[in-house]
Amino acid sequence: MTRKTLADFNYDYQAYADYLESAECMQDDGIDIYAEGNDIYTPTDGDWRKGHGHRNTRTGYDRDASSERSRNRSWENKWLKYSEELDLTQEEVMFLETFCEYDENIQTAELRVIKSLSKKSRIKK
Amino acid sequence: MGNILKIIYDRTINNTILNLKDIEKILELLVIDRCLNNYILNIDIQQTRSNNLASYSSCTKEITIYIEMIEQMVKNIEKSILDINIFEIMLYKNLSILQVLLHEVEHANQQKIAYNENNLEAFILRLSFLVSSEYDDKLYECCPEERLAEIKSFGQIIDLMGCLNIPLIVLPKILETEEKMRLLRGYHYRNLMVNVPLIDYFNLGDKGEILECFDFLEMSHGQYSFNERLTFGFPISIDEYGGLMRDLVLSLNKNFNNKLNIIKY
Repeated sequence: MTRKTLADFNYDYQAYADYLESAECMQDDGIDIYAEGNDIYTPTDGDWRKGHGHRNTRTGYDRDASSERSRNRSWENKWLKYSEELDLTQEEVMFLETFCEYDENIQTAELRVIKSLSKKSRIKK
Repeated sequence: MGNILKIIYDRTINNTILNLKDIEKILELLVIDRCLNNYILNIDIQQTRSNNLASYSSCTKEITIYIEMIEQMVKNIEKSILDINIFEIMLYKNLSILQVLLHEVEHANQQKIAYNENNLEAFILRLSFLVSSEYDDKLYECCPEERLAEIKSFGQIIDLMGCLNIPLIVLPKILETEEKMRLLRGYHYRNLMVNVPLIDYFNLGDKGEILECFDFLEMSHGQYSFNERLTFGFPISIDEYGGLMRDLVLSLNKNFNNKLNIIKY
């Protein structure tokens, strides 16, 4: 298979962008192995849509592509990842919480927002 | 910039996104407007995959636009902004594409500034060029060229929005938030201190000796305003960092969806 084009989606940008993010697109591109920095990814049974293995040469993490844990693992095309998010460490969140508590001008509602961040956590590394 | 503003306005009022022809036209106008004929020789539009939205090569003097990434960015805007009307979101999408173009044109402009102007920006740029440009996330975040291109291009977008003379409700706040995000890029609170992007950049790039060229006392307490210090990645105080970061976090929380990540190490 070759990669589908915008025309294949009747010029529906949303559908096309969804496809570009998908394992199906990765499969259509015919990529056997994907490496980025220390991370190496391989498709389950040679098919990205079935899942993927992941090895990290720095940490030693090694999940084989044929492992049950690799099966059905969702894929997001990393080359397409575009992010303009703000990453805050927990240390920064705690600092902001303290900073706001000591700022007499801060509204209670604003402090609540900052505090709620402490509860949210997304493991990135 | 009047002609560029007209392209943006016409597209937005017709509820359409800038197309490839518009992108090429805007780049041509920017080259003429900024006298960059010797610094931008070619514009290349590619479909192929990349981690970037666009790029500028000082070797080939070419700007490359990765159209799939632009489409992805536009799609993400739809997902990430809360409570905004149709006109403003379309304007935001088109201004975001323009910002990508302005960012790359600014890289070309940096080549011109670095060797033709006699000011602090030129000095920082020339020293910045000495660090190997090999891609590294942390280095990239602190890189003066990247920070300056982002900050200046967002400043230009905000100025342009002001020239539109249209009452806008949410977009000014959104763009102010985006600008704050760029100003704070590279600054982090760690071990009871706020780091200095410019220092981190040269240290991470194994060019720590370059730091001797800067007077950090002057940078911290001297003639530079808070905004100038942020722009150049100079030292800021914990209070300054806390105040601006608090405003940024609250604004991101109010106006955007999923723009905040809390990282566990």
